[in-house]
Amino acid sequence: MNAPDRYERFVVPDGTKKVSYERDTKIINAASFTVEREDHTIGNILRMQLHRDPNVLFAGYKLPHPLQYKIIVRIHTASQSSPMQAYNQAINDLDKELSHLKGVFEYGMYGRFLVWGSGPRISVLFVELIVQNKPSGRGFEAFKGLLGESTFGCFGSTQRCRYYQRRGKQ
Amino acid sequence: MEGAKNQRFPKIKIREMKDDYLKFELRETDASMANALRRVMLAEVPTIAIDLVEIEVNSTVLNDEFISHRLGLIPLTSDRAMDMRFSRDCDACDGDGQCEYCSVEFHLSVRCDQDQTQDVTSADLQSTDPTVVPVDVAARSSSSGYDASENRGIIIVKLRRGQELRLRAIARKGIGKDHAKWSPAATVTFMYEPEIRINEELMESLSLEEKNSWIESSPTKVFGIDPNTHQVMVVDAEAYTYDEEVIKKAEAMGKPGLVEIEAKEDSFIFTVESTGAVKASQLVINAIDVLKQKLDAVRLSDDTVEADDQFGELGSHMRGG
Repeated sequence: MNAPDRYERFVVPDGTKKVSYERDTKIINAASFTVEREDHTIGNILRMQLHRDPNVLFAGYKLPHPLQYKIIVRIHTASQSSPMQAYNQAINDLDKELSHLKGVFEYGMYGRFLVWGSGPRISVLFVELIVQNKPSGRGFEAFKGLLGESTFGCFGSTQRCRYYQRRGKQ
Repeated sequence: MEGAKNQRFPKIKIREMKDDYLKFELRETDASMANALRRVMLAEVPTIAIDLVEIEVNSTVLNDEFISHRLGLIPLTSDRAMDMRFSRDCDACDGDGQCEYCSVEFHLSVRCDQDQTQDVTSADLQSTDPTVVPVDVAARSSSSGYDASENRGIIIVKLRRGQELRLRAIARKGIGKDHAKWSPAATVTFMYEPEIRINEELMESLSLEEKNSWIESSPTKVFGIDPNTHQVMVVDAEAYTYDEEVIKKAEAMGKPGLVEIEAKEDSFIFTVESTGAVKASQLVINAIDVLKQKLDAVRLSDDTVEADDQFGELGSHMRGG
Protein backbone atom coordinates (compact mmCIF):
# COMPACT_ATOMS: atom_id res chain seq x y z
CA MET A 1 0.00 0.00 0.00
CA ASN A 2 2.60 2.53 1.07
CA ALA A 3 5.45 0.92 -0.82
CA PRO A 4 7.60 3.47 -2.62
CA ASP A 5 7.34 3.47 -6.42
CA ARG A 6 9.93 1.29 -8.10
CA TYR A 7 11.29 4.13 -10.18
CA GLU A 8 12.18 6.02 -6.98
CA ARG A 9 15.24 3.84 -6.91
CA PHE A 10 16.87 5.40 -9.95
CA VAL A 11 15.04 8.58 -10.93
CA VAL A 12 16.41 11.71 -9.29
CA PRO A 13 13.40 13.73 -8.04
CA ASP A 14 12.82 17.21 -9.46
CA GLY A 15 14.68 19.92 -7.64
CA THR A 16 17.25 17.54 -6.21
CA LYS A 17 20.88 17.60 -7.25
CA LYS A 18 22.53 14.37 -8.32
CA VAL A 19 25.70 15.24 -6.43
CA SER A 20 26.14 17.68 -3.59
CA TYR A 21 28.86 18.04 -1.04
CA GLU A 22 29.43 19.48 2.35
CA ARG A 23 32.81 20.38 3.75
CA ASP A 24 33.72 19.18 7.18
CA THR A 25 33.48 22.02 9.68
CA LYS A 26 36.35 20.81 11.80
CA ILE A 27 38.85 19.20 9.44
CA ILE A 28 40.47 21.03 6.54
CA ASN A 29 40.37 19.12 3.24
CA ALA A 30 37.61 16.79 4.27
CA ALA A 31 34.16 16.64 2.72
CA SER A 32 31.12 14.40 2.38
CA PHE A 33 29.61 13.94 -1.06
CA THR A 34 26.00 12.91 -1.26
CA VAL A 35 25.22 11.09 -4.49
CA GLU A 36 21.51 10.66 -5.12
CA ARG A 37 20.08 7.45 -6.62
CA GLU A 38 23.33 5.52 -6.63
CA ASP A 39 24.40 2.41 -4.75
CA HIS A 40 27.33 0.05 -4.19
CA THR A 41 28.04 -0.11 -7.92
CA ILE A 42 29.31 3.47 -8.00
CA GLY A 43 30.18 3.76 -4.30
CA ASN A 44 32.61 0.87 -4.22
CA ILE A 45 34.52 1.59 -7.43
CA LEU A 46 34.82 5.23 -6.42
CA ARG A 47 36.11 4.34 -2.98
CA MET A 48 38.66 1.85 -4.33
CA GLN A 49 39.85 4.31 -6.95
CA LEU A 50 40.24 7.01 -4.28
CA HIS A 51 42.38 4.61 -2.25
CA ARG A 52 44.82 4.51 -5.14
CA ASP A 53 45.34 8.27 -4.93
CA PRO A 54 48.33 8.99 -2.67
CA ASN A 55 46.84 12.40 -1.74
CA VAL A 56 43.76 10.76 -0.26
CA LEU A 57 44.14 10.12 3.45
CA PHE A 58 40.68 8.66 3.91
CA ALA A 59 37.95 7.57 1.54
CA GLY A 60 34.83 5.66 2.43
CA TYR A 61 31.24 5.36 1.36
CA LYS A 62 28.02 4.29 2.98
CA LEU A 63 24.53 3.45 1.90
CA PRO A 64 22.72 4.94 4.89
CA HIS A 65 19.51 2.94 4.54
CA PRO A 66 18.20 0.50 1.94
CA LEU A 67 15.15 2.67 1.32
CA GLN A 68 17.09 5.93 1.08
CA TYR A 69 18.37 5.71 -2.44
CA LYS A 70 21.61 7.60 -1.99
CA ILE A 71 25.20 7.06 -1.01
CA ILE A 72 27.50 9.25 1.03
CA VAL A 73 31.16 9.33 0.02
CA ARG A 74 33.53 10.84 2.53
CA ILE A 75 36.96 11.99 1.40
CA HIS A 76 39.82 13.41 3.41
CA THR A 77 42.90 14.51 1.49
CA ALA A 78 46.37 15.87 2.16
CA SER A 79 46.83 19.64 2.00
CA GLN A 80 48.17 19.77 -1.57
CA SER A 81 44.89 18.33 -2.86
CA SER A 82 41.22 18.80 -2.10
CA PRO A 83 38.34 16.35 -1.77
CA MET A 84 36.71 17.78 -4.92
CA GLN A 85 39.92 17.44 -6.88
CA ALA A 86 40.36 13.85 -5.68
CA TYR A 87 36.72 13.06 -6.45
CA ASN A 88 36.96 14.39 -9.99
CA GLN A 89 40.29 12.70 -10.58
CA ALA A 90 38.89 9.36 -9.43
CA ILE A 91 35.96 9.63 -11.82
CA ASN A 92 38.23 10.63 -14.70
CA ASP A 93 40.56 7.70 -14.03
CA LEU A 94 37.68 5.24 -13.83
CA ASP A 95 36.22 6.63 -17.02
CA LYS A 96 39.53 6.15 -18.82
CA GLU A 97 39.88 2.67 -17.39
CA LEU A 98 36.46 1.75 -18.78
CA SER A 99 37.29 3.22 -22.19
CA HIS A 100 40.39 1.10 -22.21
CA LEU A 101 38.41 -1.92 -21.08
CA LYS A 102 35.94 -1.48 -23.92
CA GLY A 103 38.80 -1.27 -26.39
CA VAL A 104 40.53 -4.42 -25.16
CA PHE A 105 37.24 -6.29 -24.99
CA GLU A 106 36.40 -5.50 -28.59
CA TYR A 107 39.92 -6.37 -29.57
CA GLY A 108 39.52 -9.63 -27.67
CA MET A 109 36.35 -10.45 -29.61
CA TYR A 110 38.12 -9.72 -32.86
CA GLY A 111 40.97 -11.92 -31.67
CA ARG A 112 38.48 -14.78 -31.50
CA PHE A 113 38.02 -14.63 -35.22
CA LEU A 114 41.71 -15.32 -35.59
CA VAL A 115 41.40 -18.32 -33.30
CA TRP A 116 38.30 -19.60 -35.03
CA GLY A 117 39.85 -19.04 -38.38
CA SER A 118 42.85 -21.11 -37.48
CA GLY A 119 40.92 -24.24 -36.54
CA PRO A 120 38.98 -26.81 -38.50
CA ARG A 121 35.66 -25.92 -36.88
CA ILE A 122 35.07 -22.82 -38.94
CA SER A 123 32.93 -24.57 -41.51
CA VAL A 124 29.73 -23.31 -39.89
CA LEU A 125 30.94 -19.75 -39.70
CA PHE A 126 31.68 -17.26 -42.32
CA VAL A 127 32.87 -13.78 -41.78
CA GLU A 128 31.94 -10.87 -43.90
CA LEU A 129 34.68 -8.36 -44.29
CA ILE A 130 33.98 -4.73 -44.93
CA VAL A 131 37.04 -2.64 -45.70
CA GLN A 132 36.64 0.98 -44.71
CA ASN A 133 32.89 0.57 -44.29
CA LYS A 134 32.39 -0.40 -47.93
CA PRO A 135 31.37 -3.93 -48.79
CA SER A 136 34.34 -5.31 -50.63
CA GLY A 137 33.88 -8.43 -52.66
CA ARG A 138 37.60 -8.76 -53.04
CA GLY A 139 38.16 -8.57 -49.31
CA PHE A 140 35.53 -11.16 -48.67
CA GLU A 141 36.93 -13.52 -51.29
CA ALA A 142 40.37 -13.09 -49.80
CA PHE A 143 38.98 -13.81 -46.38
CA LYS A 144 37.15 -16.90 -47.59
CA GLY A 145 40.33 -18.12 -49.21
CA LEU A 146 42.18 -17.66 -46.00
CA LEU A 147 39.60 -19.55 -43.96
CA GLY A 148 41.02 -22.77 -45.28
CA GLU A 149 44.52 -21.93 -44.22
CA SER A 150 46.00 -22.31 -40.83
CA THR A 151 46.86 -18.71 -40.05
CA PHE A 152 45.78 -15.30 -41.16
CA GLY A 153 47.18 -13.07 -38.46
CA CYS A 154 48.02 -10.31 -40.90
CA PHE A 155 44.46 -8.99 -40.90
CA GLY A 156 43.25 -6.05 -38.95
CA SER A 157 45.63 -3.62 -37.42
CA THR A 158 47.02 -2.12 -40.61
CA GLN A 159 43.75 -1.92 -42.49
CA ARG A 160 40.71 -0.42 -40.89
CA CYS A 161 38.29 -3.29 -41.06
CA ARG A 162 34.98 -4.18 -39.59
CA TYR A 163 34.09 -7.77 -39.06
CA TYR A 164 30.65 -9.21 -38.89
CA GLN A 165 30.09 -12.61 -37.45
CA ARG A 166 27.36 -14.64 -39.05
CA ARG A 167 26.36 -18.21 -39.12
CA GLY A 168 26.06 -19.51 -42.61
CA LYS A 169 25.44 -22.73 -44.40
CA GLN A 170 28.79 -23.57 -45.82
CA MET B 1 49.57 15.04 -15.37
CA GLU B 2 49.24 14.31 -11.70
CA GLY B 3 47.02 11.41 -10.80
CA ALA B 4 47.22 9.80 -14.21
CA LYS B 5 49.38 7.10 -12.69
CA ASN B 6 46.38 5.98 -10.69
CA GLN B 7 44.65 4.79 -13.80
CA ARG B 8 44.75 1.10 -14.57
CA PHE B 9 44.90 -0.65 -17.90
CA PRO B 10 43.03 -3.93 -17.46
CA LYS B 11 43.50 -6.85 -19.80
CA ILE B 12 40.89 -9.18 -21.22
CA LYS B 13 41.11 -12.62 -22.72
CA ILE B 14 38.01 -14.13 -24.20
CA ARG B 15 37.89 -17.86 -23.73
CA GLU B 16 34.57 -18.89 -25.17
CA MET B 17 32.04 -16.88 -27.06
CA LYS B 18 28.58 -17.99 -28.12
CA ASP B 19 25.51 -15.86 -28.74
CA ASP B 20 24.11 -16.47 -25.29
CA TYR B 21 27.23 -17.47 -23.37
CA LEU B 22 30.56 -15.82 -22.76
CA LYS B 23 33.55 -16.75 -20.67
CA PHE B 24 36.43 -14.34 -20.30
CA GLU B 25 39.35 -13.40 -18.08
CA LEU B 26 39.64 -9.94 -16.65
CA ARG B 27 43.07 -9.01 -15.29
CA GLU B 28 44.94 -6.12 -13.73
CA THR B 29 41.99 -4.49 -12.06
CA ASP B 30 40.33 -5.03 -8.70
CA ALA B 31 37.22 -6.68 -7.33
CA SER B 32 35.33 -3.39 -7.18
CA MET B 33 35.50 -3.04 -10.96
CA ALA B 34 34.62 -6.70 -11.55
CA ASN B 35 31.66 -6.43 -9.20
CA ALA B 36 30.48 -3.13 -10.67
CA LEU B 37 30.43 -4.74 -14.10
CA ARG B 38 28.54 -7.74 -12.78
CA ARG B 39 25.98 -5.55 -11.03
CA VAL B 40 25.49 -3.36 -14.07
CA MET B 41 25.02 -6.37 -16.35
CA LEU B 42 22.36 -7.80 -14.05
CA ALA B 43 20.42 -4.70 -13.18
CA GLU B 44 21.25 -1.70 -15.33
CA VAL B 45 21.72 -2.70 -18.95
CA PRO B 46 18.44 -1.77 -20.66
CA THR B 47 16.27 -4.18 -22.60
CA ILE B 48 12.74 -4.10 -23.97
CA ALA B 49 9.88 -5.94 -22.29
CA ILE B 50 6.12 -5.78 -22.35
CA ASP B 51 5.03 -3.29 -19.71
CA LEU B 52 1.43 -2.39 -20.45
CA VAL B 53 -1.35 -4.74 -21.56
CA GLU B 54 -4.84 -3.80 -22.67
CA ILE B 55 -7.01 -6.88 -22.71
CA GLU B 56 -9.95 -6.85 -25.08
CA VAL B 57 -11.20 -10.38 -24.65
CA ASN B 58 -10.04 -12.93 -22.16
CA SER B 59 -12.12 -16.04 -21.72
CA THR B 60 -9.17 -18.23 -20.82
CA VAL B 61 -8.59 -19.98 -17.51
CA LEU B 62 -5.98 -17.43 -16.46
CA ASN B 63 -6.98 -14.01 -15.24
CA ASP B 64 -5.90 -10.76 -16.91
CA GLU B 65 -3.13 -9.93 -14.43
CA PHE B 66 -1.69 -13.40 -14.65
CA ILE B 67 -1.48 -13.20 -18.44
CA SER B 68 -0.06 -9.67 -18.32
CA HIS B 69 2.64 -10.85 -15.97
CA ARG B 70 3.52 -13.77 -18.22
CA LEU B 71 3.73 -11.48 -21.24
CA GLY B 72 6.09 -9.19 -19.36
CA LEU B 73 8.50 -12.04 -18.69
CA ILE B 74 8.93 -12.97 -22.36
CA PRO B 75 12.41 -11.83 -23.43
CA LEU B 76 12.35 -9.63 -26.53
CA THR B 77 15.27 -8.93 -28.86
CA SER B 78 16.65 -5.67 -27.53
CA ASP B 79 19.52 -4.62 -29.76
CA ARG B 80 17.68 -1.33 -30.18
CA ALA B 81 17.30 -0.72 -26.45
CA MET B 82 20.52 1.26 -25.95
CA ASP B 83 19.37 3.83 -28.53
CA MET B 84 15.76 3.97 -27.35
CA ARG B 85 14.33 6.41 -24.82
CA PHE B 86 12.82 5.53 -21.50
CA SER B 87 9.13 6.33 -21.84
CA ARG B 88 9.32 8.58 -18.77
CA ASP B 89 11.97 10.71 -20.57
CA CYS B 90 10.16 10.67 -23.89
CA ASP B 91 8.63 14.00 -24.86
CA ALA B 92 7.52 12.86 -28.30
CA CYS B 93 4.52 10.95 -26.99
CA ASP B 94 2.04 10.65 -24.17
CA GLY B 95 3.10 7.13 -23.31
CA ASP B 96 0.29 5.28 -25.06
CA GLY B 97 2.68 3.21 -27.12
CA GLN B 98 2.34 4.75 -30.55
CA CYS B 99 5.78 6.32 -30.22
CA GLU B 100 8.69 5.03 -32.26
CA TYR B 101 11.29 6.36 -29.80
CA CYS B 102 10.16 4.69 -26.62
CA SER B 103 7.75 1.85 -27.26
CA VAL B 104 6.81 -1.09 -29.45
CA GLU B 105 3.26 -2.29 -29.84
CA PHE B 106 2.23 -5.93 -29.91
CA HIS B 107 -1.08 -7.52 -30.82
CA LEU B 108 -2.31 -10.94 -29.95
CA SER B 109 -5.51 -12.55 -31.08
CA VAL B 110 -6.10 -16.26 -30.72
CA ARG B 111 -9.30 -18.26 -30.55
CA CYS B 112 -9.63 -21.98 -30.18
CA ASP B 113 -12.14 -23.59 -32.57
CA GLN B 114 -11.08 -27.19 -32.23
CA ASP B 115 -11.48 -29.96 -29.70
CA GLN B 116 -7.78 -30.21 -29.03
CA THR B 117 -6.12 -27.95 -26.50
CA GLN B 118 -4.52 -25.02 -28.25
CA ASP B 119 -1.38 -23.28 -27.03
CA VAL B 120 -1.07 -19.52 -27.12
CA THR B 121 2.66 -18.89 -27.47
CA SER B 122 5.14 -16.08 -27.98
CA ALA B 123 4.91 -16.88 -31.71
CA ASP B 124 1.31 -15.56 -31.70
CA LEU B 125 2.49 -12.11 -30.64
CA GLN B 126 2.42 -9.78 -33.62
CA SER B 127 5.06 -7.07 -33.32
CA THR B 128 4.81 -3.72 -35.06
CA ASP B 129 8.60 -3.53 -35.18
CA PRO B 130 10.42 -6.42 -36.88
CA THR B 131 13.58 -5.74 -34.85
CA VAL B 132 11.72 -6.30 -31.57
CA VAL B 133 10.31 -9.83 -31.39
CA PRO B 134 10.34 -12.62 -28.81
CA VAL B 135 13.84 -14.12 -28.71
CA ASP B 136 12.67 -17.62 -29.57
CA VAL B 137 10.89 -16.31 -32.65
CA ALA B 138 14.05 -14.49 -33.71
CA ALA B 139 16.11 -17.64 -33.14
CA ARG B 140 13.72 -19.61 -35.31
CA SER B 141 13.92 -17.24 -38.26
CA SER B 142 17.71 -16.95 -38.16
CA SER B 143 18.03 -20.73 -37.59
CA SER B 144 21.14 -20.02 -35.56
CA GLY B 145 20.13 -20.99 -32.06
CA TYR B 146 18.82 -24.25 -30.83
CA ASP B 147 16.98 -26.83 -32.87
CA ALA B 148 14.09 -25.07 -34.58
CA SER B 149 11.86 -28.16 -34.63
CA GLU B 150 12.11 -28.41 -30.85
CA ASN B 151 11.12 -24.80 -30.48
CA ARG B 152 7.37 -24.42 -30.05
CA GLY B 153 7.51 -20.94 -28.55
CA ILE B 154 7.02 -19.74 -25.01
CA ILE B 155 3.60 -20.83 -23.81
CA ILE B 156 1.46 -17.98 -22.50
CA VAL B 157 -1.79 -19.85 -21.86
CA LYS B 158 -3.66 -22.93 -23.11
CA LEU B 159 -7.13 -22.70 -24.65
CA ARG B 160 -9.99 -25.18 -24.98
CA ARG B 161 -12.80 -24.95 -27.48
CA GLY B 162 -14.51 -21.58 -27.52
CA GLN B 163 -11.94 -19.77 -25.42
CA GLU B 164 -10.35 -16.63 -26.78
CA LEU B 165 -7.59 -14.20 -25.97
CA ARG B 166 -7.33 -10.84 -27.65
CA LEU B 167 -5.11 -8.04 -26.42
CA ARG B 168 -2.82 -5.15 -27.20
CA ALA B 169 0.50 -4.88 -25.40
CA ILE B 170 3.09 -2.14 -25.23
CA ALA B 171 6.73 -3.02 -24.73
CA ARG B 172 9.02 -0.41 -23.26
CA LYS B 173 12.65 0.08 -22.49
CA GLY B 174 13.58 -0.58 -18.88
CA ILE B 175 16.28 -1.85 -16.53
CA GLY B 176 16.51 -4.83 -14.23
CA LYS B 177 16.62 -2.57 -11.18
CA ASP B 178 13.04 -1.57 -11.96
CA HIS B 179 11.77 -5.09 -12.61
CA ALA B 180 13.69 -8.32 -13.23
CA LYS B 181 11.84 -8.82 -16.53
CA TRP B 182 14.13 -6.16 -17.99
CA SER B 183 17.31 -7.95 -16.92
CA PRO B 184 19.28 -9.08 -19.97
CA ALA B 185 21.35 -11.52 -17.94
CA ALA B 186 20.39 -15.01 -16.84
CA THR B 187 23.52 -15.36 -14.72
CA VAL B 188 26.69 -13.35 -14.39
CA THR B 189 29.42 -14.71 -12.16
CA PHE B 190 33.06 -14.05 -11.55
CA MET B 191 35.61 -15.95 -9.54
CA TYR B 192 39.11 -15.12 -8.41
CA GLU B 193 41.68 -17.06 -10.32
CA PRO B 194 43.38 -19.45 -7.88
CA GLU B 195 47.13 -19.81 -7.72
CA ILE B 196 48.11 -23.26 -6.50
CA ARG B 197 51.63 -24.06 -5.38
CA ILE B 198 52.54 -27.61 -4.43
CA ASN B 199 55.50 -28.10 -2.13
CA GLU B 200 57.24 -30.69 -4.32
CA GLU B 201 59.77 -31.68 -1.67
CA LEU B 202 57.09 -32.39 0.91
CA MET B 203 54.92 -34.09 -1.70
CA GLU B 204 57.71 -36.52 -2.58
CA SER B 205 57.83 -37.60 1.05
CA LEU B 206 54.35 -39.10 0.60
CA SER B 207 53.73 -42.65 -0.53
CA LEU B 208 51.63 -43.30 -3.63
CA GLU B 209 48.59 -44.27 -1.53
CA GLU B 210 48.94 -41.13 0.55
CA LYS B 211 49.16 -39.03 -2.59
CA ASN B 212 46.05 -40.66 -3.99
CA SER B 213 44.05 -40.23 -0.81
CA TRP B 214 45.15 -36.59 -0.65
CA ILE B 215 44.04 -36.02 -4.25
CA GLU B 216 40.72 -37.73 -3.49
CA SER B 217 40.11 -35.37 -0.56
CA SER B 218 39.32 -32.57 -2.95
CA PRO B 219 35.58 -32.54 -3.77
CA THR B 220 36.35 -31.23 -7.26
CA LYS B 221 38.99 -32.63 -9.56
CA VAL B 222 41.78 -30.10 -9.04
CA PHE B 223 44.78 -32.42 -8.73
CA GLY B 224 45.91 -35.46 -10.65
CA ILE B 225 48.77 -37.89 -10.63
CA ASP B 226 51.19 -38.65 -13.42
CA PRO B 227 50.89 -42.40 -14.04
CA ASN B 228 54.60 -42.74 -14.91
CA THR B 229 56.44 -40.47 -12.50
CA HIS B 230 53.78 -40.61 -9.71
CA GLN B 231 54.09 -36.87 -9.48
CA VAL B 232 51.12 -34.87 -8.20
CA MET B 233 50.12 -32.09 -10.57
CA VAL B 234 47.43 -29.45 -10.83
CA VAL B 235 44.96 -30.70 -13.44
CA ASP B 236 42.43 -27.90 -13.31
CA ALA B 237 43.16 -25.01 -10.98
CA GLU B 238 39.82 -23.36 -11.73
CA ALA B 239 37.87 -26.37 -10.50
CA TYR B 240 39.00 -25.37 -7.02
CA THR B 241 36.07 -23.97 -5.06
CA TYR B 242 38.08 -22.49 -2.15
CA ASP B 243 36.75 -25.28 0.07
CA GLU B 244 40.21 -25.80 1.70
CA GLU B 245 39.55 -29.55 1.99
CA VAL B 246 43.00 -30.39 0.60
CA ILE B 247 44.64 -28.05 3.12
CA LYS B 248 42.75 -29.70 6.01
CA LYS B 249 43.65 -33.11 4.64
CA ALA B 250 47.34 -32.19 4.44
CA GLU B 251 47.23 -31.03 8.05
CA ALA B 252 45.45 -34.21 9.10
CA MET B 253 48.21 -36.20 7.40
CA GLY B 254 50.76 -34.27 9.42
CA LYS B 255 52.06 -32.39 6.39
CA PRO B 256 51.01 -28.78 6.82
CA GLY B 257 52.19 -26.57 3.97
CA LEU B 258 51.90 -29.36 1.41
CA VAL B 259 50.00 -27.02 -0.81
CA GLU B 260 49.51 -23.26 -0.81
CA ILE B 261 46.45 -21.84 -2.50
CA GLU B 262 45.94 -18.15 -3.02
CA ALA B 263 43.23 -16.20 -4.77
CA LYS B 264 44.84 -13.74 -7.17
CA GLU B 265 43.23 -10.47 -6.21
CA ASP B 266 43.55 -8.81 -9.58
CA SER B 267 42.47 -11.66 -11.84
CA PHE B 268 38.89 -12.73 -12.48
CA ILE B 269 37.14 -15.32 -14.56
CA PHE B 270 33.74 -14.16 -15.73
CA THR B 271 30.90 -16.20 -17.10
CA VAL B 272 27.99 -14.36 -18.65
CA GLU B 273 24.77 -16.01 -19.73
CA SER B 274 22.29 -13.91 -21.65
CA THR B 275 18.53 -14.36 -21.85
CA GLY B 276 18.85 -13.79 -25.58
CA ALA B 277 17.65 -10.18 -25.43
CA VAL B 278 21.15 -9.10 -26.43
CA LYS B 279 24.17 -11.21 -27.27
CA ALA B 280 26.36 -12.03 -24.29
CA SER B 281 29.30 -10.17 -25.82
CA GLN B 282 27.13 -7.15 -26.54
CA LEU B 283 25.87 -7.31 -22.96
CA VAL B 284 29.40 -6.76 -21.67
CA ILE B 285 29.97 -3.86 -24.06
CA ASN B 286 26.65 -2.30 -23.08
CA ALA B 287 27.52 -2.75 -19.41
CA ILE B 288 30.78 -0.85 -19.90
CA ASP B 289 28.88 1.93 -21.68
CA VAL B 290 26.22 2.11 -18.99
CA LEU B 291 28.83 2.24 -16.24
CA LYS B 292 30.58 5.07 -18.10
CA GLN B 293 27.30 6.97 -18.35
CA LYS B 294 26.69 6.47 -14.65
CA LEU B 295 30.13 7.82 -13.78
CA ASP B 296 29.54 10.76 -16.07
CA ALA B 297 26.31 11.53 -14.23
CA VAL B 298 28.02 11.65 -10.83
CA ARG B 299 30.64 14.21 -11.88
CA LEU B 300 30.58 17.37 -9.79
CA SER B 301 28.57 19.93 -11.70
CA ASP B 302 29.92 23.47 -12.04
CA ASP B 303 26.99 25.04 -10.21
CA THR B 304 27.60 22.80 -7.20
CA VAL B 305 31.19 23.98 -6.99
CA GLU B 306 30.16 27.60 -7.65
CA ALA B 307 27.70 27.55 -4.79
CA ASP B 308 30.54 26.38 -2.60
CA ASP B 309 32.87 29.18 -3.73
CA GLN B 310 30.35 31.68 -2.47
CA PHE B 311 30.57 30.02 0.89
CA GLY B 312 32.17 33.22 2.20
CA GLU B 313 35.03 34.02 4.47
CA LEU B 314 34.90 30.88 6.49
CA GLY B 315 35.09 28.71 3.39
CA SER B 316 38.16 30.40 1.97
CA HIS B 317 39.74 30.42 5.40
CA MET B 318 39.17 26.68 5.69
CA ARG B 319 40.89 26.18 2.39
CA GLY B 320 43.91 28.03 3.72
CA GLY B 321 43.21 31.19 1.66
